[in-house]
Amino acid sequence: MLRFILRRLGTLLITMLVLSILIFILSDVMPIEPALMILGRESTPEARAALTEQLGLNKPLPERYVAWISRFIQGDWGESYRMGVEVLPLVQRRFTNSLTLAMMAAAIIVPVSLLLGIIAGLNESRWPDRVISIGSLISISIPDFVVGLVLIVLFSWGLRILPGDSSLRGDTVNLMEHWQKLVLPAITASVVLIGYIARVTRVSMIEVMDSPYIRTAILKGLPQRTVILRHALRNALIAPVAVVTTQLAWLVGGLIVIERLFNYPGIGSLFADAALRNDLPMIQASAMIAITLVVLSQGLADVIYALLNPRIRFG
Amino acid sequence: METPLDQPRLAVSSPSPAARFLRILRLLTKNPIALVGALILAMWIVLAILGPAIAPYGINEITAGAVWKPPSAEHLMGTDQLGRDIFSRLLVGTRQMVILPTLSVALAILLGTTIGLLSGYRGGWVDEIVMRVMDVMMAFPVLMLYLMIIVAIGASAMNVVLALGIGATPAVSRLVRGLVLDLRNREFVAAARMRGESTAYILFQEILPNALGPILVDGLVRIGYACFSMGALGFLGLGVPPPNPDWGQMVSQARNALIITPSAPLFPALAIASLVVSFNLLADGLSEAVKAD
Repeated sequence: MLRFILRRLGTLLITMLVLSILIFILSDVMPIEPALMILGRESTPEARAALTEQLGLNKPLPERYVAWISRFIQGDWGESYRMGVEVLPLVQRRFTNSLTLAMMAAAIIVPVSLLLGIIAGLNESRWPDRVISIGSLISISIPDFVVGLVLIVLFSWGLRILPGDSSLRGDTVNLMEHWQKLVLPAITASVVLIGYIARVTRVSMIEVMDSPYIRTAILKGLPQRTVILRHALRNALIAPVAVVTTQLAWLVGGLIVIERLFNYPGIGSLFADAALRNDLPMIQASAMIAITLVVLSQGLADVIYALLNPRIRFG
Repeated sequence: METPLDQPRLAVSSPSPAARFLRILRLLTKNPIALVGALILAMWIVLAILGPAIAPYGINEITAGAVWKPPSAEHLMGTDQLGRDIFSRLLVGTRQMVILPTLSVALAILLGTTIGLLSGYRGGWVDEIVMRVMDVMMAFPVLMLYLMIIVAIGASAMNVVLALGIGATPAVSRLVRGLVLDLRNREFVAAARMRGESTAYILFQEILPNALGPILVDGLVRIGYACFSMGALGFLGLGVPPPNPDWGQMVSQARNALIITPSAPLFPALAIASLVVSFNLLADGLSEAVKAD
C-alpha cells in the first residue's frame, strides 16, 4: 500500500511539474508587459526597461521558469497588478471560500447521484429508470450558468426565499452566517455532476446485478436487501469513483462560471477577473492552485479506487 | 441477430461501413429520444441559415426609450440594455453558435485522430510519451485552459475555435488510440500488412473507416460541450467580441437586469441549453443504435 501511494505521488509530482510549465508558457505568450502594468502608462520607457531588467524578464524562458517556480514554491507569489495586494493571502482566502462551496456541493452530489443511479439500475427499463435516465441526460446537457439563472429567477426573484447574490462582506465565508448564500450556487454546481455520476452508477449497477456471483447470492436465498447492500454495492461503486476523478477538472471549470454568476468571492471568480484584467501574477497563482487541487484529489480518488477494487493488489 | 460467421474477425477485407451506416440510420429513426434531439437541432440549423433574413430588427438597431423592456408584441423577447431587440440578436447569433463549436470539434478530430492513429499504431515509447502528455493536459480544468489560451492569443471567432479545438484534442486522441489498439490486431489489418500495403494505407484505408463510427458519436457529444463552453466563454466576457451577438455574452449582460426583467437572460440561456441538449439526445440515440447494430 505504501509503495502504491508513493508511486502515485511520484506521478502526481510529474503531472504538476508539466502543468506548471504549461501555465508558465501560456502566461508568457500573453500580450502583457509586466513593467508597463506595474509602473503605469505615464512611466518612461527607460524606467520600464530598468524594471524589466531588474525583474529578470529579459532572460531566456527556461531560466525565467526556474526562477518563477522556485519563488512560487517558497510562497513568494508576487503582488497583484490591479489590486495592489499580496497574491498569496488573497488566493488563500478565496480558495477556502471555494472549498467550502465545493464541499457543500459534494454533500449534495454524492448521496443524490448514487441513490438515483442505484434506483435506476435496479429498475432497468422500467419507468423509474426511464425517468432518471432521461432526466440525467438533460441535466448533463444544461450549462451551469443556465441552471443557476433559472434557480435565481425561481427562488430569489419569484419566491424570494433565497438570495441570488452571494457576494460576501469581508470576503471570508462563514458557514453558520452565510449558508443561505451558498445554497443556490451549491445546487447549481451539483446538477451536471449528479446527472453524470447517476448515469455511470446506473450502468455499473446493471452490470453487477447481472454478474454470476450476484445470481449465486440470490439463488442461495439471501434477502434482496442483503444482496444489494452487502454484495452488489461495493462493486457497483467502483466505476463511479473512477469517473469522478475525470470530472474534477470539469467541476473546477464550473466554479469559474458559477462564482461569476452569483458574485461569490472564490478562486474561480478571482481567476476570471484576473484573466479579464490581464493580472498576470493572479492568473498564474489561481491556475496553479486549481491544478494542485485537481491533481491531488485525483490522487486521492485513485487510492479510494484501489481500496474498493479487490482486483488491484498492492506491491 | 448476427451469426458468428458475420463478424469481422473472419473477414479478410475491411467490413463495409456504408451499409452499416444505413442500418444505424434506420435504427435511429425508431428512437423517439434521438428524433426529438434531431428535430431541435434541425430547427436551430434552419434558424442559423435564415436568422439574419427573418430577424425583425437589426442587431444594433436601437428602439428609443425601450431599455430592458419585457416581451411584447413589438419585441417578442423584450429589449436589452441599449434598447436592442433580444429576439433579433438571438436569431442572428445562432449562426456562430452552431458553426464555431462544430468547427472546433472538426479541428479536435483532425488533430486527435492523427495523434491517436500514429501513437496507437506505432506503440512503444512514442505512444507512452504522447499519451502521458495527453493525460496531463486532461488534468487541466478545461474552461481555465480555454480562458488562458484566449487571453494569450486574443478573443476572436477564429481563436475561440482554436482554443476549444486544442482543448478537446487530448480526449479525442485517447479515444482514437484505444480504437486503434483494438483494431490493429484484427485479421483484415494483418491481411493488408501481408499484402505489403504501406502504413499510411493501413491507417487510413483499413483502420480509420472502422474507427469512424465511435469517433463521430463522440464528436456529436463534443459539439454539444463545445457549445456549452463557448456559452461559458461569452458569459465570462472572453467569447466572440461585439458587434456579433454572442449568446453567452447576452446572458451575462442581462444578468444584471434580473430584477427588472428576469426573462431577458433566460431566453439566450435556454437557447444555449436547448442546443446542447439536442446534440446530447442525438448522440445518446446514436450510440444506442451503434450498440444495437
